[in-house]
Amino acid sequence: MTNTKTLISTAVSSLMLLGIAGTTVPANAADMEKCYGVAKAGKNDCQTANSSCAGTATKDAQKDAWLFVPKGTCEKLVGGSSKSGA
Amino acid sequence: MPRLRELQQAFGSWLQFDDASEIAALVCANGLAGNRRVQIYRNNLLVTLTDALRAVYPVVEKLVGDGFFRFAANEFIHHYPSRHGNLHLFGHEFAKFLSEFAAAKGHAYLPDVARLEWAQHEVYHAVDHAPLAPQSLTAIDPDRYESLCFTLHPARRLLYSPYPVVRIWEVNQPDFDGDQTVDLSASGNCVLVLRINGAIELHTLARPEYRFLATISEGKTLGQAVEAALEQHRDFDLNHYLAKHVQNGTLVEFNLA
Repeated sequence: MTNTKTLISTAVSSLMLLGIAGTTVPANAADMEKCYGVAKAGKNDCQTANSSCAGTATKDAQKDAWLFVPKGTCEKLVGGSSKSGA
Repeated sequence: MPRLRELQQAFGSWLQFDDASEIAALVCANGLAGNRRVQIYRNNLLVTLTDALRAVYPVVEKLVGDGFFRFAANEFIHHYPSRHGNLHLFGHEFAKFLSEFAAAKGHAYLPDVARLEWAQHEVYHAVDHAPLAPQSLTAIDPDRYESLCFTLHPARRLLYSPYPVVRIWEVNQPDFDGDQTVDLSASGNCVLVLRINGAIELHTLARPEYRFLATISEGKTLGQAVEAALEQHRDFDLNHYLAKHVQNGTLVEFNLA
């Protein structure tokens, strides 16, 4: 389609005039350090007091029947929860 | 006496909740009976994997509550055991699991919330990539622009949901203090998950813009992507969107089909 060709030609040409300096500078070293210093809980701290205690039960974890119903903020989601996820 | 390989297999199947595994009988008692000692190991695994899921899916957890989340996680771990040495790769089937999980049936949006959280998790850990230098396009013959195939930055994910997943995600952030009510019949979201300077961002996209990027991400040409976007909207502003996604570092490389 000629229309598409013109659109593309214009868009790609103007891209080259753009000069994108500044907008997409990769993260500087300091930012990266900050970012990678953050470890999500449970991912690489397997020796925390929490997990080493919680897992030492010698009985297999029980399935509690009362847990079958979601009881969180999902109650605040209204008007269409039965809509199927198409 | 079993071979090492048989021992490892018996231990592996025990860890995957195969109670017919004979590993317990092969473990020496030492203060505790053998079966109780291996149960400690397995329970620790369960706790570790549950915590790993919690770390990736905090909004799903908040939506369904701690108890239900633990129940769902337990079922998930039984059906989709970890297949990698790297814990960061564990849990990607959680959305699929939730979509099939009878107990979560009344909450059809949950799998999409999980997909959004997994996308953020992947983007967070994806490798970095330098932005595209527009000047490098001068090497391309203008007659062939339609055949350009762009590559998306590794730290980008596209996601469509018929539900307002971005709003659901936002009102369930720890620092959100507004009204948590969400109208599920509100329009769905086309989302671009991206990492800018180490931080995860969610950008909602216009539908033609989403089609445009999604088509490019499938390895199609610029010509095909533009056609797909124009099908969504006759006035698709290619100038604007192409520049936007080169500038925000989403389109990072190109070659000719």
